[in-house]
Amino acid sequence: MFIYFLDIFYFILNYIKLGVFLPIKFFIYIFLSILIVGCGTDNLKEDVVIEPEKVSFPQNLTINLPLKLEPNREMMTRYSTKSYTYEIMQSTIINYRDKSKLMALDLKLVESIFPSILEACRERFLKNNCTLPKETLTLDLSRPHLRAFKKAYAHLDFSWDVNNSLPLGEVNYREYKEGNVTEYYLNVDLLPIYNRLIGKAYREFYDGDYLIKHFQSLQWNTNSKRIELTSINDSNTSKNKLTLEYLTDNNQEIIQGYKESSSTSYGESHSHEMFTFMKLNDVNRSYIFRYNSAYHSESYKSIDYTHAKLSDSIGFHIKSSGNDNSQIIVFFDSSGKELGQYGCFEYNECSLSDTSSWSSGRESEENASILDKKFNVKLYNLKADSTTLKDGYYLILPKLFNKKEKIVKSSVGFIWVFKEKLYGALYDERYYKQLESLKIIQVIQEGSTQTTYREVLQKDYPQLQIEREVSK
Amino acid sequence: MRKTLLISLFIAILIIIGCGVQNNPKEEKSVFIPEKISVAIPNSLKESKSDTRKLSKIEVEPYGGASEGYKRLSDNTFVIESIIKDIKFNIMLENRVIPTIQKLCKDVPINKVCTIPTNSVELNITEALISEYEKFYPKRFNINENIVGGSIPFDAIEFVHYDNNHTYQYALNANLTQIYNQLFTKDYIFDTDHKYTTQNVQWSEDNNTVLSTLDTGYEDNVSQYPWTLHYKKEPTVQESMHLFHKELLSLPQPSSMFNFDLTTKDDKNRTTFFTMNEINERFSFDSLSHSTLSSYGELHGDRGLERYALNQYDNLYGNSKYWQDEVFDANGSNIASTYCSDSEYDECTLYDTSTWYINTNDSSLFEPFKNVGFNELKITGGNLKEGEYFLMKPDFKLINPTAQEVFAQNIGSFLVFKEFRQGAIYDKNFIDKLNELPILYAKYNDVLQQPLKTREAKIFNKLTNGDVPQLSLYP
Repeated sequence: MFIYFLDIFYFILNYIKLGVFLPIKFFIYIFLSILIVGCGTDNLKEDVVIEPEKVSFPQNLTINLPLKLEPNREMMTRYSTKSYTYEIMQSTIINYRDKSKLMALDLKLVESIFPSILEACRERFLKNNCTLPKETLTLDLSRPHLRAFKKAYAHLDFSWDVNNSLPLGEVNYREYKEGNVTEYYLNVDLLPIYNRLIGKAYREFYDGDYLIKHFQSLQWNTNSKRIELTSINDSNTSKNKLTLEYLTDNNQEIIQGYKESSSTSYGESHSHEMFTFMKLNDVNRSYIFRYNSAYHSESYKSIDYTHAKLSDSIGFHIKSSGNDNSQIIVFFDSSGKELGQYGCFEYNECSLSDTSSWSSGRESEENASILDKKFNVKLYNLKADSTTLKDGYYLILPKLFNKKEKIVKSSVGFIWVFKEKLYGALYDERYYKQLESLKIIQVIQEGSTQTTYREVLQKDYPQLQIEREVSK
Repeated sequence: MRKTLLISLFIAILIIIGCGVQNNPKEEKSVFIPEKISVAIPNSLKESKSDTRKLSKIEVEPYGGASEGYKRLSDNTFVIESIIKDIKFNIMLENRVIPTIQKLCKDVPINKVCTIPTNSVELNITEALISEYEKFYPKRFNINENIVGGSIPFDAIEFVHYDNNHTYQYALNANLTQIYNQLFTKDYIFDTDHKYTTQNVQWSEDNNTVLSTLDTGYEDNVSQYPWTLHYKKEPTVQESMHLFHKELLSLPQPSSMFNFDLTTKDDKNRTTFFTMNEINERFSFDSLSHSTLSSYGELHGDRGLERYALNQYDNLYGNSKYWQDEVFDANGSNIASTYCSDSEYDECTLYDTSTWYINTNDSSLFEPFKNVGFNELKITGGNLKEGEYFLMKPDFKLINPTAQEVFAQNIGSFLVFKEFRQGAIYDKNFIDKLNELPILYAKYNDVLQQPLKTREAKIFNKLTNGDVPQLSLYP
C-alpha cells in the first residue's frame, strides 16, 4: 500500500514540476488513491484503536459427579444396597455439588451482564481496580434465568411475574498480570436482585428472617488452571460463606472447598468444613474424598475427619472423631456395597495403633481386617499441647514441597485452630514419624477476596503429636 | 370492437368470480378439544393443608388420627386432580396442533380414522407455551431448557370426525411419548424414560360429553398408570364424572387401583353424590399389606356424610374389617362419627350398629344415613380378571351399551386387583336379588394403548356362566 502512496506523491511532484496535465493517467491515479484510502482505512484504524483484550468468562462452574454418585430414589432408604457410610459420603458430595450449582446460577446471571461490566470499567480506565457503585448496571432476567431461579429456590413461593429488569448492587472487577498469566477477579453484590426476586417469599418461609448480604465472587485466569468461587450469604440470624477452588493439574481435577457458617437462631453456633474432592483420572477412575467438619455451640461440640477413596476397584472410608479419637474404617466395592468394616471406639478395649484389637461386632469385621492389611489405609488424629497459630485452616505438606500451585493436591494433612485449640489429621502414613519436619501452610481467606496460602514461620510451628488412644 | 371488449371483460370477470368460488375450499369449522373435562371436586372432599381446623378431626378420633376413610378419599381426590391437570395440559398442547391435524385429515371421510404417522406434526416449544406450563404447574420445574425455542414431533396421531349417530363427534388419539421424554427433565438421573404416554380424548359436538384417557408406562417395564375419565354435563340438571385409575409400580413402591364417581346437581345446595372403591398394596417392614375400601357420600350445602367399609389384610397384624359413618362440614372437618371394627381390641359388634362407638351425643346427626343404600359386597368365586365391573338392574338388556348408559344406570361396582376384590351396591332395592344382577366388565380400560383403528366397538362384556361370581352382603 505504501508504494502506491509514494507513487501518488511522485506523481504530484512531477505534475507540479512539469506542469503537464495528463488526464487519463491522472484519473487512474485518482482511482487508485481512492482504492488505497478505502482499503487502507481498516488497517489504519487498527493501529490507532487497540482492540480490547477479550476476557472469556469461565464455563462449567459446577462440580461434576461420576454417575454412580448421582442421587437415586433408593438412596438413604432401607431399599438401598449401598453402605450407609458410602451414602453419607455421597450426600456430602452431592450437597457440595448442589451448592456449586447455586453459585453457578448466580454466575450465569453475572455472565449475562459481564460485557457491560467490562465496558463500564474500560470507559472509566479502571480495569485494574474497578468499582461500579450499586445501580450502575441493570440485569435483564431472561425467562430461562427465572425458571432456573425458581427451580433452585423451589421451596420459596415467589411469583413468575416479576419485573425482569433489575438493578445490580456494587460490582468490583480487577485484572492483573502475574508473569504471562492474566488474573481476573469479579465480585458482585446480588442482594438487590435476591431481595427483589425472593425477599418477600424468604421472609414468609423463614419466619421473618431476611437476607442482609449476598455476594458472589469469581477469580480466574487465562491459563484456566484455577478458578475460585466464593459466595457470602447472610441473613439477620445466620452467616454462610462457601469457597470452592477448582484446580486442574496433569489431567487431575481437584475441588477444594471451605465452608463457614454461624447462626444465632437457637443460641450461637458455628460450623466449619473443609472439603476435598479429587478426580485422579487413573485406570481405576479413582476419586479421593476428604472432609473435615466441626460444629460448635454452647451445649455441643463435634469434630470429624474423613479420608476416603472410591474407584472401580475396592474403596474405603475412614472416619475419625476429634471428640474422642475413635475411628472406623469401611470398605466397599465399586458400587458402594459394603465389604467390611471395623474400628476402635470408646467402649472397646482397643488401641488405635494396633488394628488387631479393632472390632465392629459384625460378620464383616474379619473382611475389614483382611482388606485393611492389603490397603493399609491410615488416618491419624493430631494434637498439640499448645499453639500460637491463629484461628483458621492450615494444610500440612511434605518437607520438600515447593510447588505453590500444587498445595492442595500435595497436602498430607490439615490443621484447624478454633478458639486457640488445635485439631488436625494426617492422611498419609509415610509422614507420621516425621511430624516435626512437615511444612504448615496457612489458608488465608478474607471477605470475598481470593484464598491465599502462606507458609507458617518456623517459630510458630506447633509441636504436633499423634493421638494414640481413644479417650474415655 | 368496444362491445366485444366489454363482453370479453364481463366473461373474464365471471370466470374469475366463478373459479374463485370454486377454489375457495369449503369452510372447515375449527375444532378444539373442550377444556372442561371433569366435575370440580368440592373442597370438603380435599385435604387442604393450610386448614388448621382439620386438627379437630384428629382430636375426635380415638384410633390413629384422621378417619382412614376420609384420608383415602382426600388422598385420591389429590391424585384425581393432578391427573386431570395433566390431561388438561396435554389438551392444551394438542389444541395447538389440532388445526394442522384437521388440515391433514380433511380428505378422510366421516366416521373413518385418519392416521397421521409419527413425526408428521410438530409441537413448537415457544416461550408462550412454557408460560402456559408455568400456569399449570407453578411448583414443578422440570422443563428441559435445551428444547425451548425448538420443536418436538408428535408420535402417531389418530383423528376421527364421527356423524351425529355417535355419542362423540370427535376423537383424538395422540401418542405423546416423544413430547414427554424431550420436554421434561427427569427427577433423578437414573429414572427411566417414558415408554409410552398415550392420550385419547373423545368429545361430543356440544362439548357436554367427554371421555379422556391417559395411559403412561415407563421403560422399567413395571410401572403402569392407566386412567380413564368420563364426563357428562346435562345443562341445568347435573354434571357427573366416572373415573378409573390403576397405579402399578415395582416393589417397594405402593400400587393401587380405584374408581370414583361424582355427580353434582345444579340445585342451589350443589347437592353432590360420590362413590369410591379402592384396593391398595403397601410394602412396609419387609412385609406386604393390603387394604381395600368402599365408600359412599353425599354433600348438601355445607354438610357432608360418608359411609365406608375398610378392610386391612396384613401378614403381621392379621386381617380386620372396619365400618364407619361420619358427618363433616364444608372444610371436611369431622362433626360426628360412629364406627366399629371386628378387631379384638374393639368392644363393639361390627354387624350391630347399636353397639358402635360414637363421638357425639347428638345421634340425630346420623339421621340422613337412613336413606343411604350403600352396602359392601362380598364377592366370591367366579372367574374374574383384573379391572372394573358394574352391577346393573336385573332388567338391563342392552347388548352393546354405551359408557353413558352404564355409568348412569349402574347400581354398584367392584374392582379386582391382584388377589383382592372390593366393591359395593348403592341401591337397597336389589340387595335380595344380588345374584340376578347382570355384571359388566369394562373393556375400555384394557385398550388404552391400542390404535382407534383396531379397537372393537364393544366396550363392555357381560359376565356369563362360570365367570359370574357369587355376590352377598356381610356378615
